[in-house]
Parts: sequence; C-alpha cells; structure tokens
Amino acid sequence: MQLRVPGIASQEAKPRRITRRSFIRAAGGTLAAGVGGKLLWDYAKGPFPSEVFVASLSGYGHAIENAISWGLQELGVGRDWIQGKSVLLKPNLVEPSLSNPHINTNHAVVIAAAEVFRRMDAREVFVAEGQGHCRDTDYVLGQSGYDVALEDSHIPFVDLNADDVFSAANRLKRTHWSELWLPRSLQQTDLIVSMPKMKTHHWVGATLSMKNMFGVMPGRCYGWPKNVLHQAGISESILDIVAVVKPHLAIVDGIIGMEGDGPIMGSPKESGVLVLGRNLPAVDATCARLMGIDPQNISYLSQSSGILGPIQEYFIPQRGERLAPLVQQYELPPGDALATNLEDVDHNAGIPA
Amino acid sequence: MRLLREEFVNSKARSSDWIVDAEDRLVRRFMSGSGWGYTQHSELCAESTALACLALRAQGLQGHEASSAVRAAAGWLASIQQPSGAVGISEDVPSPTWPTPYAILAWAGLKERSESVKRACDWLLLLKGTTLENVENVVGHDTTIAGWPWNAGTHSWVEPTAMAVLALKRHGLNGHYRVREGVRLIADRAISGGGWNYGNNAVYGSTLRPQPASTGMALAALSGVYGPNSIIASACDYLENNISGLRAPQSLCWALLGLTAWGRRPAATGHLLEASYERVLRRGEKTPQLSYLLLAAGRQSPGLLGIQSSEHRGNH
Repeated sequence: MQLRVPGIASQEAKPRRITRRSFIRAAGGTLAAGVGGKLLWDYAKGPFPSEVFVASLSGYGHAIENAISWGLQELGVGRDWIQGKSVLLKPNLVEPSLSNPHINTNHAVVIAAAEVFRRMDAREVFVAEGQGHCRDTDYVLGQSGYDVALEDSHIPFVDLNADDVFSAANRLKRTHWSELWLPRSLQQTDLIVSMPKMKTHHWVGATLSMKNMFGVMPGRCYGWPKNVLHQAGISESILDIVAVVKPHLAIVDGIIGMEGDGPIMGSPKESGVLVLGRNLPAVDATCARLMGIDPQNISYLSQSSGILGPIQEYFIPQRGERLAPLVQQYELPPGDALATNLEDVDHNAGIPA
Repeated sequence: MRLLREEFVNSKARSSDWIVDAEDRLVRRFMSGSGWGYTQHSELCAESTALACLALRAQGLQGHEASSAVRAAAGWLASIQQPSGAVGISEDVPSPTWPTPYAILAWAGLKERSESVKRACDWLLLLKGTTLENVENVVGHDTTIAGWPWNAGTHSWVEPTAMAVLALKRHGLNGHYRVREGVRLIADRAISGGGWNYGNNAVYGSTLRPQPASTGMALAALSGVYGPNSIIASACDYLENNISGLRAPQSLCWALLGLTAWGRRPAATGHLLEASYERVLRRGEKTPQLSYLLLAAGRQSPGLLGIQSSEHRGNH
C-alpha cells in the first residue's frame, strides 16, 4: 500500500499579503522550534487522572531522582504500572548548542527518570527524539551532552527521524490531515513520557509537554524544520498529535527554564521546579501558571480544554509543593503569541495551496 | 555496466585500514537485490541507498561485491521512481520526494540510468518552494525567493535547495535559472556571523546559530556558481574553527566537503575521519554514518556530488 504524507499538492502559489501568524504557519513557526490498542488509557474512557505534582529543586543534582519517585507516588504511578513495561523518554532536543544548555531538556533529568523507571522494574527504558532543527542526530546528541550521559548510563537512544514509519488515523482532525505518519518505535513501547524544557515560545506562547510531541513526528516525512506541521497550524497540529500519540506521562524540566525569545534564543530562567502529571493539558496549564502566563492565552491549551484535559485550576488537584510561592513571572516572548487566543486563528491563512 | 573510469583510478587513494573496514561493513549491509536502510534492520529507503551508492563509488568500487551492490541499488532506486520523475523516501512512502536529488547523484554517470536522471531533473526543475510576500518584519530572509522545499507546497529550506543545486550542477545545468535562483536563496539565508543552519538566519532581530552540516552543504552547492566573497570566507572560517571537535559523521562529512570545495580541506582530515569512525564503531554504526565517512574520504566525491572545487577561492 502506498501512503502519502499529509501535505499540499499544488506547487504554484499566488503571491498574497500575509500576516505574522500566517508566516508562522507557513515557515517561521519552525523556529520555535502504542498508538491504538497498546496504550494504557484513552481519553474517550471518561475521567482521567489530572493531578499535577510540583517539586522544588535548586539544581540538577541527585535530588531529581527522589523528586521523580515522590511525584510518581503522588500520581498513583506505582511499580505495577511500570513493571515489565517498555518506557520511551522523549526529551526536547530542538537545537544543538553546548553554550546554551537551557535550550534542551537537561540530561540529568532524563537520566534520573530512567533510573527511577529501572528501579520500578521497567523491561526497558530508552530515550527517543526526532529533533526539528538539525538533521545530524549525532551532532545534536554531542552538543547537548546526551551522547556521553546516555553512554555512561547505558541508556539506548532511538532516532525518531530515521525510524521506520507507520500511518495512524487522525482522530481529532483539528488539521486537515486524514492520517499522521509516526515512528515505529511508538508502536513498540508501552509508556511514552514527554520530557520537555519549560520555555516560552515566540509563536505559541509556551512550549511544554504537548508541544514537545512535535519531536515524535519523523523529519523524513515532515522535514527539517517540520514545516508541514506549521502550515497546518501549530496549535491544531499539537492537538492532533497529542490525541493520536496519547503520551502517558509528562515530566517537565523547569529547574532552569527559558524566558523571552524562546524556544531557542531566550534567556535562562532559574525556576527551580520539576512538574509531573499524567494529563498533558493539566501539566502544561500548571507550568504556564508557574511561568506567570494565563493558560487560556495559549491557543493550544485553550483548545485542549475539555477535549484532551482540564486547564482550569479548579479541576487540577495539586500535589507536592504549593504553586503560589513557586510562581515566577517569565519575560514574555516577542510578538503577539500571547496577546490573543484561538479566536483569531485563521484556518485559511497559511501558504496558498 | 559501465562505470566511471575515475572510480577505478581512485583505488590508489585507499591507504587507510578504516576505509577498507567501513567499505566492507557497508557492502555487508546491502540488502540483496535492493539497497540500504538507515539501520541494518530497518526498511529500505532512498536516501540511505543513494548515500551508500555514492560512498562506494567514491571509494572506487573495490571488488565485485561493491560493484554489484551499487548496480542493483541504482536499479532499485529506478524501480521506485514515479512517473513524474520524483523519488519518494521509500517504496511504500512515495511522498515527500526530497530524496530525488540524492537519487540523481547516485545515478549520475551510470549510462543505463541516464533516462532516470533526465526525468528526475525535469521534475526537480518544476518543484518550487512556496514564496511569501509582504511578510511583516519577523524573519531575516527574503521570503520571495523560490528554492526547494522538504515537502511540496511548503517553504524553501537550505538543505533541499543545496541538494537540488548539487544534483542539477552534476547534470550540467549550472546556468539554469532555477540553479541561479537556488544559489540566490542559499546566499540570502547565510547567517551574518558566518555559516548556515536549516534555513532561518534571524527571527525577531535575533541572529540564529549556524550548524556545520548545513554550512558544508551550502558551501558545496555554491562552488563553481557563486563567490568567492565574504559569505564564503566567513562560512569557511566557521567550519575551520569548529572542525577539530567534530566527530558526528554527517556534520564532519559535509564540513570537509564544503571546505574542500573552496580549497581549504584541513591537513588533519585523515585523523578526523579515523577518530569519527572509531567513535561510530564503539557506539554501534548506522548505515548513513558509514556512507558519510567514506564519502568524506573519497577523492572522487567532489566530482560525484557536483562540487566544483577551486584552490584557495574561499580565503580572505
């Protein structure tokens, strides 16, 4: 059977005036940077755990393992949930830069998570990423310190950009795609853990555990950068991807986040938090609050509300540390990503097709 | 099959044990009657197959096995060529078609694939990235220039444009207006401090960071059709300043090829490639890694890739 990447067939585009948001769709948004029956839970099966755990951490030391263990316990994720399972850890490695470690999820958090899952008798734990700004995965791993860290900890890495692919039906259909291409490794694992960096994002306001799922989309189907996703609408793409992939857990590295011109050119922000949860919109809404951002002003979160999970504080039981003392106002990204919400999303504003 | 004479002559260049070992490993990974995947156990794909063909040809096709593998792989690539002339990423995934320039380069010079080359070039000349006019002051590049996209119907980016330019140059189309426009796009996307990344040089006034693979590929594409000028010189400087620490095969390969194109191939090239190869073996090699290292080492690689080198042209 021959299948095609959802995309655009026409080559000839008539010039037209476009807006900043249109351009984000068309091109620049890229700067931002088990499917099916194997998954353990399903959004359609009623209430799902929306508790979010927040830990306060002063740095990337040994306390991370304890914080993750405590968080999993608070979230009801016990040994029985992990034992015998294959666990895929998905960090954000959007762009290689040794001198700017706050761009990517710190490998200390990923290693700590791997150790915790191993102690809970996971069958295997591996790290996987399909980075969007650089084709050379070896270079990305080297520049982010992951090559040595993973080798020292004997943790395998899977390059999702070069993985075999399969197609999955687009259930939510916020974009025009009828199907999504996904890496085979997602079918072969039991638990998918989104492990983003807590960052502002100049196209969508903030990039957290949901936006991090852009990185599972194989570059050889969607490009470097993954322009197809931006042209279809960043927020809409995020929703469709999360609804199909359905990650089981999020662990957000907010120990040192990024503020200002994120997701790659912003400044480090010492937030000192680690955020865990099983429902990604709830986790991301909590992270947004920790960044001093109203989740309702983040289009993809606003659109997720009531569909993929809750974003209102009232519906998100808080575990671990109290939120209020940990809130730090992040410098907001340039542009108007947070000035308006989904009301102004123009479905016809992308490149003329 | 008639092979390029230069490929046989190249055997004198085979002085390093690691090259022989890498070539053997690459040939052993050949999937009978077809080509190569990204890993030993993954499905066949066009890019990996084309790269392996180029790598073996760059090493002079030592032995019957290598020659047979290249012949069969070129045939497999032709078998998945679409009526339009385009080549998709694999047999089962015909779109996107960004591997087409890779296939052109793998076929070029093989007489029995001349028709495939022509059809692929004709198709490539018609493919354009979408352009944008009147963009608010968000990005640093000229969005009205049409190069080549990763996916049809999307914007143009550096690597697909550079690969298209290389493939069309290899086919003798240096003067074609699409090549000239591709060159203009690549030059326009250069980062002010030197080098290239995937294709955005600035956003909201912030200058973005270069990457070695994109930089080397852009330099290779521009050889013979652009410069020399300050863009070339600063890009070469960026690579020279960073190459000693490079061990990633893809980045190292393109960095070396880019510098070679402008007469600045480092004296330590052999050492860099050998160190990279040792690292690759220690961590479990993947097919493209072997191909990139062999391609970087091959004296015939510039000719195979449409690189037109010129001594010292990239110096200040």
